[in-house]
Amino acid sequence: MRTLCLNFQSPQESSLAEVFLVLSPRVQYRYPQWIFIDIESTAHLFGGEASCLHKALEMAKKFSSEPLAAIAQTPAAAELFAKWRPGFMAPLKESEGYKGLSLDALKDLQGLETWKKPSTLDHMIQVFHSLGIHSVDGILNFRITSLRERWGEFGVLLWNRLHAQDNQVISPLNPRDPLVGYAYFDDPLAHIHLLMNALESHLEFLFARLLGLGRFAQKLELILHCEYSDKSHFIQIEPISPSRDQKLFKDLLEKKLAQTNLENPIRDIEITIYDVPEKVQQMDFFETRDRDGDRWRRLISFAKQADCQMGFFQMQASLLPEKSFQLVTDWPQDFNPKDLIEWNEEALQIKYAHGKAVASSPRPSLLLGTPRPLKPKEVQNLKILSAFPSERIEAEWWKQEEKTCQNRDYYFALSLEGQMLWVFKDRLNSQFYLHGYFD
Amino acid sequence: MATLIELQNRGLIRPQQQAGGFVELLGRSNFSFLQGASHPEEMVHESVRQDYDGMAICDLNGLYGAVRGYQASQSNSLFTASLQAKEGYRYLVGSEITLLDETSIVLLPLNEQGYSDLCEIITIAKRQAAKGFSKISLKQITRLAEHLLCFAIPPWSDERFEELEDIFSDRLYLPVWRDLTWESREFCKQAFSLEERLEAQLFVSQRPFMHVADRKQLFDVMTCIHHHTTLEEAKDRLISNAERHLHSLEEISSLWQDRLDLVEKTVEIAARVDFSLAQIKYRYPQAYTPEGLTSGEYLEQLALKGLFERYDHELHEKARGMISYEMNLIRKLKYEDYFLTLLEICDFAKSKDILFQGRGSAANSIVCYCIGLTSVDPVKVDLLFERFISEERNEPPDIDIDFEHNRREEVIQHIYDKYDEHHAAMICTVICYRSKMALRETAKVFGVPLKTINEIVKFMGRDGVNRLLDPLTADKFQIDPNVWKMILNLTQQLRGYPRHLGIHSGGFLITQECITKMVPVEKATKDKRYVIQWNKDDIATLCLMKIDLLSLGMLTCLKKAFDLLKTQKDLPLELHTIKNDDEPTYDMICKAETVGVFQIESRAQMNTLPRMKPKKFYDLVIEVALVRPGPLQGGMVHPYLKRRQNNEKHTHPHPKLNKILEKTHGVPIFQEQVMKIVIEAAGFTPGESDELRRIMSSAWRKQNSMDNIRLRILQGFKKEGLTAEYAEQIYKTIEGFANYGFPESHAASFAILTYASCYIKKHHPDVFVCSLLNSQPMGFYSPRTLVAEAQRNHVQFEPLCVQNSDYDYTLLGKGCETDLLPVRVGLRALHSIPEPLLRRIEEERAQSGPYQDLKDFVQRTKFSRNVLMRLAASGALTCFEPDARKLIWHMESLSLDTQSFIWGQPRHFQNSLEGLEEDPIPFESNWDQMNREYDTKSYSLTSHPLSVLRSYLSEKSEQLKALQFVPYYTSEDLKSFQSKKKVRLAGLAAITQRPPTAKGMCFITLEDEFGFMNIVIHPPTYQQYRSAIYGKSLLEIQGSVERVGQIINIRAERVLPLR
Repeated sequence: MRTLCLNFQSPQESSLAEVFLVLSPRVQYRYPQWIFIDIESTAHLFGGEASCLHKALEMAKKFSSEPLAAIAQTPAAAELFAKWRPGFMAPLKESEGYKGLSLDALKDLQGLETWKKPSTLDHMIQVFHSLGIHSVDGILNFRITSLRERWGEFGVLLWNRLHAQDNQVISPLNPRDPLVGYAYFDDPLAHIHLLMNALESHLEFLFARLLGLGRFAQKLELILHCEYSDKSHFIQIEPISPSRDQKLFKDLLEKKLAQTNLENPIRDIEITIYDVPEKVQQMDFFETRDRDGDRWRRLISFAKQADCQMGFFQMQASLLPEKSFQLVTDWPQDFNPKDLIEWNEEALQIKYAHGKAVASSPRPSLLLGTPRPLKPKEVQNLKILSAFPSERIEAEWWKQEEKTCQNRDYYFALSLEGQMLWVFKDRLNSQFYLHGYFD
Repeated sequence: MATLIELQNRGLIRPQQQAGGFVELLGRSNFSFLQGASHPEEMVHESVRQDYDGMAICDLNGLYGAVRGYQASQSNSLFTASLQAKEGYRYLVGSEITLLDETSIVLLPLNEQGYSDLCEIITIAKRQAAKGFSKISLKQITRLAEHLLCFAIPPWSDERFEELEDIFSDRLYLPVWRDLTWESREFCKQAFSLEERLEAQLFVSQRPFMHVADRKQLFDVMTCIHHHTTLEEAKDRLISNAERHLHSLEEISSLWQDRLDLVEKTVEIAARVDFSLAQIKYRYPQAYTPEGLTSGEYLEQLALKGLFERYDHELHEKARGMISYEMNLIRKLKYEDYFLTLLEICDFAKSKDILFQGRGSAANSIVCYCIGLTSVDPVKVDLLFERFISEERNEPPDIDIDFEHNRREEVIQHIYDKYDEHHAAMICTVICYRSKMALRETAKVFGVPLKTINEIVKFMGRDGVNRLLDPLTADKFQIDPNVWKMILNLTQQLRGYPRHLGIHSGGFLITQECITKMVPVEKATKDKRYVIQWNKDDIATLCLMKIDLLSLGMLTCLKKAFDLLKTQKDLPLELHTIKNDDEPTYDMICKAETVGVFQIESRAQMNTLPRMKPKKFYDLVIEVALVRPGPLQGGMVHPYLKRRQNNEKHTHPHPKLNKILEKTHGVPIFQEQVMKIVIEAAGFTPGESDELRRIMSSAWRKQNSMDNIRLRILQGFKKEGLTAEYAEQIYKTIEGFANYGFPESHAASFAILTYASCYIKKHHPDVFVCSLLNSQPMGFYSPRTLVAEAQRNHVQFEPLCVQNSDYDYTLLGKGCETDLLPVRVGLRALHSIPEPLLRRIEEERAQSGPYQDLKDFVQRTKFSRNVLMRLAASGALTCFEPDARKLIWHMESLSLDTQSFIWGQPRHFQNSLEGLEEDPIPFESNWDQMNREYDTKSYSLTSHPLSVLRSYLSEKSEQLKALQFVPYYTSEDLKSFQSKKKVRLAGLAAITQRPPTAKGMCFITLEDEFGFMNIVIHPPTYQQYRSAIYGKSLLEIQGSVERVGQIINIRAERVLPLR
């Protein structure tokens, strides 16, 4: 059985095998980076083994920067050559290819079935080394009986694989993986062309699979998850008729993305293709029901339209008061509003447990997001109520670029109107800032 | 707008009152391991500077820093800033104990009993937890609480307060502090409420984590290290501000204007304490004395008995006088039991036939010599007894005893058996942050990626932080220059801070009373080992007596050599019976043929020997002390050698120094000399000089002190008319002496072993190499080099063989004194096979006779296939089949399942080795054979790698010559070459050294089949060829000859792997 083995040199998804269905229906993937193709009966369709190898490599280059390939009589030998002698096409004489190959290459003489006892193989290699044998061809002339005497069935298997007598059959591929892609960006993306670049490789992969499967894309869905919140964008593309035209889908996607606001950069994407044979199928018209979470999202959206931020108040650890909380806009999972509020004869009140901390806090309940510098006149009108600051905060000294407001002395002060204020003095430049009001 | 302070300054409101006094009762130092940012000394000095009435150091779960603080409080060292403590200044010790419920209380002993109880509490807490942790409940403290003050650390509750009050009653106090944080305001509110409602007693503290506010950044970094997080992620784990430091009295008074009584309360609390570390009463365990004799009488009796054995008649009078003088002092200072205890330990060693020798200043004592603790004769070497014991210095004597390195454990176990864990524990060493670790941790805290940190640490190499000071380093590693500056600054601050506790290699504290009454004891990593919370300096400060049981590989080697001489050559020899001033031995030393001997085998030592030309014992004493960092850094080595060779005029810098330096040609070499010089020429008192020695050897050296010392030396010398240059030189020598200084007595003790090892090497090279190989690992050289050296000295080696080899190397046959016996390689040469398995070969053979054949060997030893393969590869099984490869292939076919009836036989068709012919096993060349042997035992008896390669090298040399390039030369060729001749050398790197004192130079001792070659690599060449130098053992060196007298060095220009 003539086998073409592709070595992608980096881990690949199992669904990649579908792409190579165009070369032969007998394709098999092996974790993490190997694809074996039985080209015994199909190589002539592509102009012989050499062009078949060339075509396979061309296709593989779309998914890996440096794929390697080789053809041999068995999958095991093909794998070995795909790693150690790429491009090799042994015309029934693998022994030629073994000349001068380090014994470590035996670890790759696996094919569809990996070595069950890698430690035995290591031991065998060590024994051969101590006999002064350092290349694979050095063990070709050992008798099968000698290997059996020493290493039993394992020795026989090695002998068989070396002499192309190991039967491994590649059965026809039965595709099962859904047509989905996912990507996580270490550096979140905020530009459309960067995003399109990132998307392109996924589109390429999915459309190559469609080609291999002989199917068409009816609908494409793209979900973009944002970096700074749990917000996500949902984009759907559905051309009039199912198509395998990658460029068409790409253009449509680009247009839709151009209308999307990417101020909140994209952290990860999910892309799904709904495939059909050439004939269109019935669509699903049902929509999701209206739930608390949906209502809440609508409310947030209204607030946003009115230029107002709204969300759940979530405490977070920080020495700086303005960084001690954050607004979370998403509806918390497993959240029951009844835990937070109580009904009292048509009136609604936030439960005391949640208000207690605010009441006894020496910090104000009304806090400015950004402290406001006070003019000298405003400062003169203030009455500072203590000789010593109520709090001294010296934070984030390692942030050289944010020189201001790292060293603060907080005071309680009364304004001319009798309003109790929370002000601080920047210890570096003696500038006073207003940071909050007490109820 | 004006604040109240401004109003007050303008006189618009009533001026503030100042508190009558203040004692900081919650001091904390960096011995709270990552939870305190100042040294104990800094805390104490700052409290003195701020005019406090006292200071308590209460570190977390231990008394680690207590003694250092105590020492700082005792006398203001002349080397620190001139601070004067307030009269009646109190230094208190205590500890903050973390309880099981994660709350903590500070315990302060009221009196001596309280201190013992506190030690007990800490010991219990440590024993109940894993190493480095602490675990105790309030209930366990209750029974020991009677003599302790308790400061409950907030948060409090009524129940908690009442629970503690039940235990401590009027000894319970609540500390309050105002550090301008939300939390401290809350705690104050709670405390005032408890005071009002439950009459709680409050006092003011600052709960200081550092002595000055500047340490805040370091404290934040330490907090991050403690929590394994970065500054960015640490959030509210960091302290809000830098207020947790020691403030001035004015600031404290102003902050507590409303409750000045609480500030003054601290003085009242401190007054309740009637305990100081000086009160620790130490008694040495009572030693055995015969009935009717006091320990003093018994010791004198033993010394006199030894005198008659060791001295000729004419010296009796002098020696007797010296003994009587020493005994008077020993009696006066009550050290008799100390000597007798040591003697008892040494007697135990003697009874077990373990060789030992005293070293250090004890060698100055004739009593030690006569009772057999040391081997240096103080009458002959003229050493000063006062260096050992001095009444003025009021320091306990320090006797270090070396035992055979592989048998010291027996002695340690004997001490534990005799004194048990309640009366004997080992002394700790405080492991501090060193440059690389400090940088690693600090950079992590700043969020520098681990990969970059590894690169930086690699880049630092042995130069440490100094290598990073180049401003371009930040760019190199793509780190923001400002961040880099902060990292470097904080790394330097963190360096020297305690990190964790280690165990001293051999220091023991033995006590008459329970040891935990004196100092807390905690678990060591090794099972059933206990370690006290103080190190050797702390022990010295409190004048406690420790004994040092050290180990020395050379003693093992000598013991084995003496045994071999006795059994194989019928020559009873002992350390003190070796012939003195043996000329052939000194000739060998002068020729630097000292591979394998004690101390003078290093490359630097071997280079000085031909110039030094030692001719008598005292020359060896000097040689041992000369090539050490002290004299090297002080630039004393070359002047000494020149003067000794009469190439330089013998001058003394000052008449006052004549007597001090007359023994060493006017050049200071020994530690005592340097100490005496600063007394004579820089006006130091003996006490100051001794303090100088201790400051220099302490890990933490305050820069301030060092500057003061330097200044004093320079000024003092100037006054005496000595040059600034000489003063600088002396200062550098002191610096060099800090860690590696040799006092004369110590050098003398070592020189004895040096001489003994040289003597045996010269006259019995067979015995020497056999015992040296049986004592491995030790010394500078690998077995390969030692074997090759012995072969050059005509020692015959018999190959390794399971039928004949024992575990150890053995001498074959018996002979007379002048015979050279062949050495049989021992099974221990097989480093990859565990010792018990190798011993089994010997035992089985002794029990049931020689092995019949391979099958018999396999069946009797029951070895696994791996072990058998290694034995076959090493050539140890050639008695069964001379072709090792065939043997390996055959053994692979053996059934090694002990259950099988064909166990030890081939599994299938073959029954013997003959059937192997059909398999294509390649022929084994000499090179292959050598490689095989090197893989298993790191050397080959039959051929040196270079002799195997020689024909190839000769061929290559011809080609090079034809092209008019420099050919390959051997170590033999070098002997006839003149300076500057260009050479190309090939060899095995025996030793690669880059000593810190050598200013970046690297030295390789290259070895070929004829001998050694000294390669000198200058820093630029070193940097260029670093990977070859450390990556390869077969090297090609291209360079030129540098010849000085008999010494031949090769200055390398290129270092390449030999291809």
